Amino acid sequence: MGFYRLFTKSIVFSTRSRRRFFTFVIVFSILSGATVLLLGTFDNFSREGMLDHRGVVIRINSGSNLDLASAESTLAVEDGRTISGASAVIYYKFVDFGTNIRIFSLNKNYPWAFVAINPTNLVSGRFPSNPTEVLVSSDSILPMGDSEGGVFAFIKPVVGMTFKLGISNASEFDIKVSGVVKIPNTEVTGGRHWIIMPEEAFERLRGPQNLALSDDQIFVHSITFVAQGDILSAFSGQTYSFVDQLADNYDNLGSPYGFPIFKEKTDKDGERNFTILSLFFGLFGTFMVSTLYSYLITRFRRREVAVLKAMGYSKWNVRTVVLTEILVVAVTGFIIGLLAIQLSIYLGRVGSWFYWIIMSPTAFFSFLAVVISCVPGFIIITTRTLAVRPIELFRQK
Amino acid sequence: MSETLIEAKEITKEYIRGKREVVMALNDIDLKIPKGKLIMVTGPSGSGKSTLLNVLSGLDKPSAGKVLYEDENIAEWDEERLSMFRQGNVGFIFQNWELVRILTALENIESPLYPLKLKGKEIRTRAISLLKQVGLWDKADNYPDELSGGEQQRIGIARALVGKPRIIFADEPTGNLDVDNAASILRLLKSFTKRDTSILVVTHNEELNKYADQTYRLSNGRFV
Repeated sequence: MGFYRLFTKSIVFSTRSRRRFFTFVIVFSILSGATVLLLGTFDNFSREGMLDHRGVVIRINSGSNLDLASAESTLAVEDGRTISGASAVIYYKFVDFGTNIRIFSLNKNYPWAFVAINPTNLVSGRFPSNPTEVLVSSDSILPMGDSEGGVFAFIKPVVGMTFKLGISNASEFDIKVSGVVKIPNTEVTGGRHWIIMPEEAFERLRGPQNLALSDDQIFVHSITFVAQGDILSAFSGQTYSFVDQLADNYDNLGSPYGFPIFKEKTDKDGERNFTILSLFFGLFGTFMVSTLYSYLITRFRRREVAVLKAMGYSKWNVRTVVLTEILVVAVTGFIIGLLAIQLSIYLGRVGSWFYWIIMSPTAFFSFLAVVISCVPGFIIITTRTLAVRPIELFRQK
Repeated sequence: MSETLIEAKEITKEYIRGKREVVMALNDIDLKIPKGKLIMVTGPSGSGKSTLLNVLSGLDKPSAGKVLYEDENIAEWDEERLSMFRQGNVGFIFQNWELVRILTALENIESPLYPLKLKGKEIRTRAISLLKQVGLWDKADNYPDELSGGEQQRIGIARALVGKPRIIFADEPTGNLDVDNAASILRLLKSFTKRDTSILVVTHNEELNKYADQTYRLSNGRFV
């Protein structure tokens, strides 16, 4: 009971020295944010790096297109679903709309996995966030039709433009351009203009009210196997092992996929070592600041510590008071730093997909790292202070 | 004859000043502090008053001699055992009050009880009762910086008493107060001896002797 009360009272009292409290909360939030980012690098939440570390993409349209029904029935996909290390199998489907336009479905949870329209290729606007929005390729020129089916104009779509996709005997399909992506080269597009729409819109388009297409009329551009991995496996290199294992398995597939493409990251060890080094400095910074804070607490409140000891507080009682103060500052700083990172991810999102870092193992392990890095400084400072008898503290007037 | 609570036997305390000079702060002191009495030790600055108080309370260790509390020599105890001893038996009143600046008056009084296995309600009841006794109930939520010197000292006294100690050590408790406030503080302290609480006051002000049950005068580390 005594310990719990001392702990809870110390939490309340730790915020009373407002200027010192807020100063250190800000410092801790910056350090915590850096720690989260560095640990996040291991978890590869950044879309640019994620594919290299966490996914294997097999592109299957290098030769003749493979329809969805055939793709699903192949042994390779079954293997992909069951192989150790694969946590999801993502199809990127497409359908040709007339002779000039190819329409893709976009899985909003894995936008990074579709290499050709990776979010880093976004030129303007943003990824679709609702079923009426689409991306278009930057070189697109859309034909405008007349009521009799003839083409009377060609226009270059821009962000915010609305138009209709329509065929005879089907309901019209209202869409709005939310973003423009740069398609790497015309070989990839096959000379067609690309429209990329969310999966639910694509399914509606291919449904009975519109195109009424069966599985063998839908084609698959690529299949992505997402490798499992979390921050711990990143530390140990296990995530890389999963990716390598998947790559090896599919390297020999050859036909009917044409050629499996796995772009191996050659400098992954170097990157990992650099990140570990950065993380070490980040945690060292947290350690230094927490040590400084412990020092300031015990220095500014040296006489208070002496009074507490004179009143009968044991060493552990005093340690509880000081440790609670440090933890309140560290945890508050961590929460603010984490929320700032989450906010920046949200504001920098592409489309509806963004990473919930506050719910991730990265956040959990960052929290542990920040708390643990506070402990050595706390022990060093409080041990030095508590070793002094209260009478000696009173003499230092 | 009252029962003795703490007894000092042949207490000597030496300091090293500078590199070689040995200062004898206490020299062969014998003293008995009875239960429920107010003992006053007076003397000029540097006579060893505060040193005596520190040694008797276990804050400092004597160079030689014994400090007996219920037949046990507390001078031989380690720091942790002394903390436990002080927690249940000793209250301190300091010349500069030494209140914790970030705590309110009420919280300062409660603070010695936080580590103890007492219910929160009991802690609050005790603190409020003492706050009323020292006449500062209306200042419960004030921080030390918002209180006068006399008020701070009253809070310090209430804090010393909240743990129901068997003895209170007061080091120049009226040192920074005017005559009226000093008399008021001494009367307040004296009133607590009726509860069998012993009080040792060290002060340079011999006019306060009239409040004491026993008085001693220290000069150059010896009783005179």
